[in-house]
Amino acid sequence: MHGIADQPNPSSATLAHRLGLLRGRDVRPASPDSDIAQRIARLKLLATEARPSTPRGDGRLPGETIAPGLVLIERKLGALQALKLRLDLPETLLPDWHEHNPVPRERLLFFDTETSGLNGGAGLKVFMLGVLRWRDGWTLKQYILSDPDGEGALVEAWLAEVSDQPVLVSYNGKRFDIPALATLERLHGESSGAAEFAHWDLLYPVRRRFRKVWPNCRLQTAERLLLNKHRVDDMPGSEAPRAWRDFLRFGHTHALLEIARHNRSDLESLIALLRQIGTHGPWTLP
Amino acid sequence: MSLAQLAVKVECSNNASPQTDERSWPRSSTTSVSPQPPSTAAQSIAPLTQGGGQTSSDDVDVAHQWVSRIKRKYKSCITGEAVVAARAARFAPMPDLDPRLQAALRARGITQLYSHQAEAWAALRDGADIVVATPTASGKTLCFNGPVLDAALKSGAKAMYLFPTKALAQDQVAELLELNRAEDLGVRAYTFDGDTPSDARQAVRTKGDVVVTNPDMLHQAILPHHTKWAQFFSALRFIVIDEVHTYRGVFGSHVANVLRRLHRVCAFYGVRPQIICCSATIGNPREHATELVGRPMRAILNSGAPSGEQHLLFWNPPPINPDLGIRASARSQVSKLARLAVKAGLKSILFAQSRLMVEVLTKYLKDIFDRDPRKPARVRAYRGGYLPDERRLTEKLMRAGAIDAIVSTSALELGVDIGALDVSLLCGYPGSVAATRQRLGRAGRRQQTAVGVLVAGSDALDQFVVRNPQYFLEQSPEHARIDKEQLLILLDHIRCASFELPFSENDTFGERDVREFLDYLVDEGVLHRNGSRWHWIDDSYPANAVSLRSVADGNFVVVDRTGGKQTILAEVDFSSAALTLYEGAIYMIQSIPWQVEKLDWTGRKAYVTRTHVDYYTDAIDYTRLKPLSQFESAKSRCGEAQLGEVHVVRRVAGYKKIRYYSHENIGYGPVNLPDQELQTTALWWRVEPGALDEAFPMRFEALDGFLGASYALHTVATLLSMCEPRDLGKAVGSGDSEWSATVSGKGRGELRNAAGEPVDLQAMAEFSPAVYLYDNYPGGIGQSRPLYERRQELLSGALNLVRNCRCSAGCPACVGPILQSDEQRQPKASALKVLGLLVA
Ligand SMILES: [Zn+2]
Repeated sequence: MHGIADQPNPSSATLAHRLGLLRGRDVRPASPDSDIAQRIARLKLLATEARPSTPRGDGRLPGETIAPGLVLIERKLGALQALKLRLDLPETLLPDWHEHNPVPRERLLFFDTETSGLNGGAGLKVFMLGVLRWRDGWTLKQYILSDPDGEGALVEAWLAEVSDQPVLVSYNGKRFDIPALATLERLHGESSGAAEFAHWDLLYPVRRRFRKVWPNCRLQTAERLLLNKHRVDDMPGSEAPRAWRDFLRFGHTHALLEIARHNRSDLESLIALLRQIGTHGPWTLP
Repeated sequence: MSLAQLAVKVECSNNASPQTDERSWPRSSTTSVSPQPPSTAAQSIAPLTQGGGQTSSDDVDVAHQWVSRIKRKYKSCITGEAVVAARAARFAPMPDLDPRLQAALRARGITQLYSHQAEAWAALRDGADIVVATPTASGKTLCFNGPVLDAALKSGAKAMYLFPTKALAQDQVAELLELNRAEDLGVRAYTFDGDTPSDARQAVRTKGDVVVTNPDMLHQAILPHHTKWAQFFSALRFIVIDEVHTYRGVFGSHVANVLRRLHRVCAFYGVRPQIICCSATIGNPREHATELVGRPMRAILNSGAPSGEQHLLFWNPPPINPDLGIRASARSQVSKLARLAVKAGLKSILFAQSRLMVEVLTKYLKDIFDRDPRKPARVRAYRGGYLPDERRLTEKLMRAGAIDAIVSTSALELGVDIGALDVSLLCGYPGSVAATRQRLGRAGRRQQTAVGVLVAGSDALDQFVVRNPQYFLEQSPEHARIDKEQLLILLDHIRCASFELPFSENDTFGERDVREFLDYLVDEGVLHRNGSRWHWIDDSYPANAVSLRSVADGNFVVVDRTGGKQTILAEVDFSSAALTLYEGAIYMIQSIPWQVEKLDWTGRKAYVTRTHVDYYTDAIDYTRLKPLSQFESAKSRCGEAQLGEVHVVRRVAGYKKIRYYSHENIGYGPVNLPDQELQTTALWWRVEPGALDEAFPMRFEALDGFLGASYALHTVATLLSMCEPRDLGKAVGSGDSEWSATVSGKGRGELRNAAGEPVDLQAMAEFSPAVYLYDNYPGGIGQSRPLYERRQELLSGALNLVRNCRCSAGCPACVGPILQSDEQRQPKASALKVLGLLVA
C-alpha cells in the first residue's frame, strides 16, 4: 500500500523549495536552482522516519465506530481466563489506604491510556483509552482514535465512564494519564473532576516497597517479579506514538492493534497487582 | 514637554520626527527652568519607580559646578556637548479608582498622576491598546499597575507581565507587593520563570492575579501547557509588555510570533486582553509596538514627569600615538572621571561593556575609596552572574544613597530601581543611540543637574560616534525593526502553534494565511490533516527545539575543556560560526579570550581553552554573492545601488592574527571548512567599469578602495540599524559571483574565483567590483531594506568616518587595520574615492 506522504503535497512544494534554499547552507552543490527536487527529497529524508518493517495490517480496525473518528473495541473476559490470569478480586475491597467504607468491586475503574508522546503539553494526543470494570465479569473497553477529530467524542466517552465517580486504579495515572486526560477535557471545554476522585495509583506502593530492591519500578518489572508474568511478543509502549502515526499516515493497523493488546495486558496486570497488594499488603498508598 | 537647548560646540537643528520630539536630545528652543511643581501634598509625588535617593544640598547645584570644572580642565578631550533643559511636572487628577487602591497609592505618596499616566489610564478605559514611551524614571510602571490593580480589585481581572530579564520581573513583583501591603489589597503577584520551583507552579497558575514572566517562559512553558493555565487565561484582561525596544531583530521577530500564539490561545479561552507596551526611547515606538503585537496601538509619548537639567559630554581619550591611531584607554578616562565625581560628593554610575571590565573598574575605584575594610563600601559592582540576593542588596543600598559609585554592565540599563544619580559614565559606546540614551538617562534628578559622559573606546564605531557628535545628536533614535514573516522563524512558530491548538481551514496566524505551511508540516509528518483541520500527531514538544535568539537550528556550542572538564560557555548562531569558531580563532566571551582548539563541524561543537595571547584573530573570508532577484535599484553618480535577494557562498580560507593596540598583523593561519551557503537579502553598489578605470589608474588601488569602503559602510550600517556587527555581512566581489575579494593575510586585497584559485587582477578583461551589505541570517531579518532606503545617510556617514579619521593611511577606526610596513599604500584615500563614486 502506498502512503499519502510518498508524494510531496503540491501546494507546499514551493514553500518546501524556499525552505530548502534557505537551509541549503552547508550543502556543497552550489547552484541554487539546479537541484530543487533533490533538496526537497533531502528535506523529506530528514523529516520522515524510516518506515516500519512490521506487517502493515489490512487497514481496518475491529470494533465499532461509535462516533466519527472514534472506535470502540469491547470484550468480556471469560471466567476461566480471568482465573488463569489471577484476576479473581473479592467482591468488596477494604485496602489499608482507603479509610472509608469497603469498596465494591463494581466501583473500581482500571484505566490506562496510550499517547502520541511522553512530553505532555496541549499537543499530546491520547489516542487509546482502555477501561476495565467489573460488570458480571471483567469487561474491557478500548476507545481508539481513528482520526484526531474523534477527540471530542473520546472526551465524552471518558466523561460517561467516570460519571458514577468510580474509584480509579492505575499505574502512574496520577502523574501521567489523569493530567493528559485533563488536558483533553480542557481543550473540549469539559471537566470530569477525575483528578479529585479516589485514585489508587499502584506505582506508589510498589515504589515504596521495592525501590531499593528492584532495578526499576516499571509495571513490567512488577509483573515479572511479583506476578511471575512474562509477556510474549509484546510491543513495548514506547512504540505507541509511531504505531498511531503510521496508522494515520499510511493506514497500517498491525502495530496499532499490537499496542491495543499491550494496553489490555497492562490493565489485566493492574487487577492482578491490586490482588497481590491486597493479599500481601499493607503497603500503603501515599 | 522636553525643552532642550543645545550649547557650545554642536549646532543642531530640530529634525526629530513628530513621534519622538519629546525625547530627542537637542531642541533649538529655550525656556526657563520651571519652579517647584504645583503640588500641595506634603509628600513628594514620587513615581513608583523612583526611590528616595539622597539629594545633594538644594542650594548648591554641585553637579552643575562639577561639569563646568571638567569642561574647563579637559577641553581637548571633549568633542561635543549637549544640554537638555530642565522640565517641570505636569499633573492630572486621580481618576475614579477602587477606594482601597486609592488608599494604597496615597500611602505611597501618590495623590495625583503625571499627565502621561492619566493619558494612559484614559486610553485603557477607552479599550485601546497602548504603548508608553517616556524617559527612564518617568513613572511608567504606574501606567499599567494602576489599571491592572484597579481591575483586579473591581472584577477579579488577571494580568500577565512580560519582562525581558528576570531581575526586572522580580523588581516588578516587589513593587506590586509593596503597593499591595500598603493597604492589604489581597492582590497576588508572582514571578513565573525557570527558578520557580515546580511545587509552586500550580499556585502561580491558579491563584496569581498578576503573573510576571518572560518571553522564553511564555514560549516554552506556558503556551504549550495552556490547558493548565485555563483558569488564568479565562480571566486574563491585560498583557503588559515592558521594554519592547529590546524586542528587535531576530529576538523581536520571534517574540512577535510568540505573541501571535498568545493571541490565539486567548481567543480559544474567549478573551481579548488589552495590551500595554512600554518602551525606552526609540524612533518608532508606535510602529514597532504595532508590528510586534499585531494590533494598532495608541502611543503615549509626552512625559509629565519633571526632570532636572542634563548635560551630555562626548569624550575622546587623549592620543598616545596619533599615527597609528592609538589613544589612552576608555577605562583610564572613566576611572578618572569617577574619581573626580565621587570626590565632589556626586553619586555615579559607570557602564562597562563587559563583566571583566566591570571588575577592573570596580577594583580600581575600590583601591581608592574602600581601603578601610571596617567602613561600609562606597563602591559596588552590579552585573549578571551575581546572585540575586547580592544584587537586591546593592539595589537597596543604592536607593538609600549609601553607595557613591556603582559599576554595571547593561544589566542596569533597563528599568531596575536604583534611586537617583548625578553622573553616568559610559566606558565605550553601547552600540546604539537608544542604549546610549537609556544609560545616560540613568543619571537624573527631578531638580538637580545630571551629567552624562560618553567615553569612546578605540574601535571604529566608538571613534565614529565621538568624532561626529552632531551625527549622534541629530539622529533621531534608531528604529527598532522586526521581520515576523521571516520564513524559518514563522515556520518554527506555526509548528509550535499547531501543537497548542489545531488549525482549522479558516484560521489565520496573526493576519497570515498559513495553509501552505500546514500542508508542508503534513508532508513533514508532524501534522495530520482531516478535511478542514490540521492536528499535531508528532511525539515531540516543538517549543524545545526553538530558541528565540537564533534563526536556523544547528547552533554551535562553545565548550571549555580546560582541566579535563567540559563546560558549555556560549552558543553561536550557525551563520556566524564559520567566521568566529575556526580552529585557531581567538573567541572572546565577556572580553576574556579563549582559543578554539578543535571544531567539530557536524557535531556543532567548538572546543576552547583559556588563553593569554596578545592578539585577536580575524577571518579571511571569500564571500561570493549572486543576485537572484532585484527588488529596487537607483542610479548613483557612476553606477547604481540595488536591493535584492542574493545567494551567498562564503569560504573561510584562513585568518589573520592581529596584535592588540598596534593592530599589527603578526601572522596567518589556514582554515579548512566547508563552504556555507545562505540565501538572504542584500543591498549593493556597483560602479561603471569605465568610471572606475578613469578614477583609478591602478586596479589594486580600486580594490583597496572597495575593501576600505565596505569596512566603513559596515561600521555605519551597524550604527544605523541598531544591530550587532555580526548581524550584517559585508563583501566585495563581482556582480556575477565570478570572484570575490578580501584583505589577505599579507594585508593586501586578493581575488579568488569560485574554485578558490587566485585571480590576476590586471589580467581580467573587465574589472567591475560591487560592495555588498547583507543580512547574515538565512532568509534575512529585515535589515537590508531600511538600509537601502537610508543609503545616502549611510554613504555620507561612511565618508565622514573615513575623512575625519586622524590616521594617515588607514586604521581600525576607519577602513580597517593596515600593515605598518605597507604605508606606501593609501587605502584610506582610495576608500574615499570609491565612496565618492557611490554617492547619488
Ligand atoms: Zn583611520
